[in-house]
Amino acid sequence: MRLSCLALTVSMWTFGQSALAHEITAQIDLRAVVVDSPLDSFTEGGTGQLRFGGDDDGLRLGAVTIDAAGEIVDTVRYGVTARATGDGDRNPIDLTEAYLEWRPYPSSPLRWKTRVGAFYAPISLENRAVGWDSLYSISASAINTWMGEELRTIGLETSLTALGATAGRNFDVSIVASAYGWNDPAGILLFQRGWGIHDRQTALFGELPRPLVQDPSIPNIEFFDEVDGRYGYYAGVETKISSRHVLRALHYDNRGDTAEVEAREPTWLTRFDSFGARIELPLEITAIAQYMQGDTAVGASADGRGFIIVDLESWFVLLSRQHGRHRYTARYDRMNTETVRGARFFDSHQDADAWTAAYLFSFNDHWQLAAEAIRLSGSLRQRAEIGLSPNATERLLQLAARYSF
Amino acid sequence: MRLPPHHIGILLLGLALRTPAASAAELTVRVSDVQGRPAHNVVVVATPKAAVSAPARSAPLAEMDQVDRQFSPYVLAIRTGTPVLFANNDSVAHQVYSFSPPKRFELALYHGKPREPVVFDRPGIVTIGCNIHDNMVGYLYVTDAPWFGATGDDGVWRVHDLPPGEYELQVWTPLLPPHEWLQTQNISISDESTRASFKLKRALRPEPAPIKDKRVRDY
Repeated sequence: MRLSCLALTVSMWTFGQSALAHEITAQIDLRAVVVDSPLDSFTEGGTGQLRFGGDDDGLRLGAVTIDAAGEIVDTVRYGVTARATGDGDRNPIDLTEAYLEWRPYPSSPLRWKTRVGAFYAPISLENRAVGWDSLYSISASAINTWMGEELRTIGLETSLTALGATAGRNFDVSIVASAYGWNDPAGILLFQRGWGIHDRQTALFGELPRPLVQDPSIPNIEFFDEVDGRYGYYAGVETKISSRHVLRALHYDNRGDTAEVEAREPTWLTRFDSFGARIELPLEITAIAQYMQGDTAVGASADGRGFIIVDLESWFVLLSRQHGRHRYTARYDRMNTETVRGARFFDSHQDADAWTAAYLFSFNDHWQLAAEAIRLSGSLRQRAEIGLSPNATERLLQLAARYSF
Repeated sequence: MRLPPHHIGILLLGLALRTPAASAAELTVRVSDVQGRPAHNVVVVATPKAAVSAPARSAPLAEMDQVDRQFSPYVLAIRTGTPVLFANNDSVAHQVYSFSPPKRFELALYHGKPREPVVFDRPGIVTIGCNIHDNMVGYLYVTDAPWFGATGDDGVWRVHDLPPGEYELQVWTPLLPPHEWLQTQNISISDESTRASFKLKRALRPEPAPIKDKRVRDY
């Protein structure tokens, strides 16, 4: 009893400080969707690469997002994001990120930050808004869509930044490194369905149906699992110029043991290099380009590199202009996967591109209206495995009304 | 216009009353970049080479605001000993700090007005940051000199009460590479109004951009 009184006092005190120390944002995103596609969406177990497939016309839930961030003690902050996507995932609402961040006050031009928990690796230059949404469109590029689907750092990340301001430089240079676990299945969705373009993030305890398996007794894909007992790592470098322009490079390796197949998901060995630049041009025009190249592999092999190896490559260029409360965005995505070993057992092969045009209008700090058109066209050779034509063009028009408070 | 003689007398009396006993001159300093465009928000300092009777000035409270996740103004020149209030007019909390040798301080997370101002009691350059928002950068130029200020949008700084004498003029901006931060010239102030100009060797870098869109969360 005494303990609960103490707990109540502490929590009241904490809440009393809350106006100061905690920032909570909730956002609801409702969509009107028109689709022209011969495919079912991957969210329904199809091989469609957009979030909505052929039968999904109508009103849909974009997402409900609840985001909280704040101070625990002076230099330790937390960030928690929960999301509901309303498409029958295991939990109606689930966490997408949850972490603690330690930011000691810099005592020299070297600035140190450490995060522990579950969060996104610093790769995307688009997903800058609340709930890791894109600031520039509804759907992220293929690269950052894949980040939201299959990649999550569940572990520790630390970064060291050389702050330029005191030395009169107009740029900061950071190095970042991370060790993590629970990302052994990363690569399975890319292997089966290829790159996609949408805004659905896989929750930490979320699942997706298998695109090429039509037996309902086989369980869904679980993404964030530790199978082989090996930690993965990434290491990267970033430069920020005049608090405006950002350049990034990062190497990722989940160090998966491809021989480890006795689990719900076998271990995938996924490695890639990622490069990106975001440049702020005159007239409030933003240019973003990202490139990713690597491979993912599965199954035991004598050399340990995997029984099946699939090369992955994607890039995009985005131009966006802010004009008062209006934002106009155009993006071109290029997407490729190619099986370079074991293709006679399973030939994962995608050759596709996509155009995205978006218009966002912010009425005020609470209401935003977004319209987006996507045309994704190309081939996915593995569709033949389930009797579909490899070639398809998917078109999606979606209108989102977003309210946040 | 022709004025009757008694009006001229009143006018002259008025001017005499306005002018302090020791004669004082007006100095206009114009700062431009390499292309001749006015250089805004450049600190200008006038330091007398010999002892002059500088007017006794207190060091009133100065304020550096935080708006749209950026410090405003970007550069603030203050006299040594001035207390500065780091107001926060953002909807998000800030954690202001500096590790610059003239003044190391940390202000724990706050909204609105902080409890107390920070007193800058040693001259020098103090770089200000926010521990939450790494994009935020501001500078305080703390000086012992009696006459100082910053150029306006027209690139001009003007002072009215300089006693005649020899002065060193300095201009300072962090929007140049560090070896060009400071430029100096000597100037002789007579009873009349004096003009000086500085031409910077290159275009100023852009100031760090504020983040106006409240949806942006990556800092």
